[in-house]
Amino acid sequence: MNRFSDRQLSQFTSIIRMGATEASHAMSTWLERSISVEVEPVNQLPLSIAADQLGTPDATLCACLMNVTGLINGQLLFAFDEKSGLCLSETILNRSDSVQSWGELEISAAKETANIVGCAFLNSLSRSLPHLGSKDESTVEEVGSDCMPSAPVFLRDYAAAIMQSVLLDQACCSDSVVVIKSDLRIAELPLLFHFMFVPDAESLDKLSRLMP
Amino acid sequence: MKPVVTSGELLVKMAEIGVGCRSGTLKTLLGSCIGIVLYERSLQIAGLAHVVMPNSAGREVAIGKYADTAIPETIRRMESLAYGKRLSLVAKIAGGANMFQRVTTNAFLSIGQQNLEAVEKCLLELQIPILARHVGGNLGRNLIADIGSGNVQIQMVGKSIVQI
Repeated sequence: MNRFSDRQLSQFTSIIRMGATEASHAMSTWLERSISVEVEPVNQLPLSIAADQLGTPDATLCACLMNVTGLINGQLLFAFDEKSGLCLSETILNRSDSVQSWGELEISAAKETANIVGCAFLNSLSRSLPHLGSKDESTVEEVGSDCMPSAPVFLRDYAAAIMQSVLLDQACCSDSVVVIKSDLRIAELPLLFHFMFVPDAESLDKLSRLMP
Repeated sequence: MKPVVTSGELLVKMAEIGVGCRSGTLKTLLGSCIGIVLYERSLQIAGLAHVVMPNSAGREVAIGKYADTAIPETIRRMESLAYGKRLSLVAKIAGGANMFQRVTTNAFLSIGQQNLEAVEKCLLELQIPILARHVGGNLGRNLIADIGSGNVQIQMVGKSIVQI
């Protein structure tokens, strides 16, 4: 069963696009590099398709995951392949030598990037969401406080296994899931970072009520 | 519904069921979900269910998603390949990881464990012996079941391949 109409999905996508743009600006400032962002339209997908959103199911990826609580609840995922992640760490740590494996410093650099990108996205969401469905400030619906992220957790695992874990909450309540995904690329480098927000089932219900 | 595998590899995704006979492999990637491999040795028929949740609560859609509906449906599809012969099934199960345990704080924390318990209960009720388990932990699993032999191979990132 679909929670959102096409109109609502379009509205939701606009809000996400603002958040993803803000996230890419934050990443650009952090890395002192130009970042391009590609926002996929918000969509409702069957579980089997949603689980492939990070690419080849058995590809090993790195991911930083943050729980989100407040205005809406869910999970933020910042995922990337080994090469992109290690190159990101080299850039942040200002290293000229190439690192081949993940040490504490490299993981810390990745988590800090996820935190910066995630906070920028959530700040934008916190500004946009209370105005959903209202035509003027006086009718702004009260939906709670800001969105707050937890400290990121880092892991290396199969792409499909990572996705299963973040889809679980929605999968409990529905056979189709809402996945919000953007791809971030660093200019002139063949590096790709997936940035994903997966609201929990209760928050999706709240959003569907707020959007006309 | 997934095609029946008789050669090559079939990827069974979340909430899906795959069956095959004689040769080929059934593959799935598991995080907190449970993969149940059912095998009939004499007829070389294998089934793989990728279970996401423990209980359907009577729902009749997405039958591959729930332990209590996916296992009977896998058996039904395997029986359709047996030409009326009675199946003598054994099971191997894997998955149920809690991958983000340090960040996951909600009620779904132990979903992997709940899935595992539901699968074991269902197999017990159906009198299907569990020959091997590779469950729990905090890493995902790449499961490949060989239809010809019933062997199940498990790989985890950064670890050696294990046969169960």
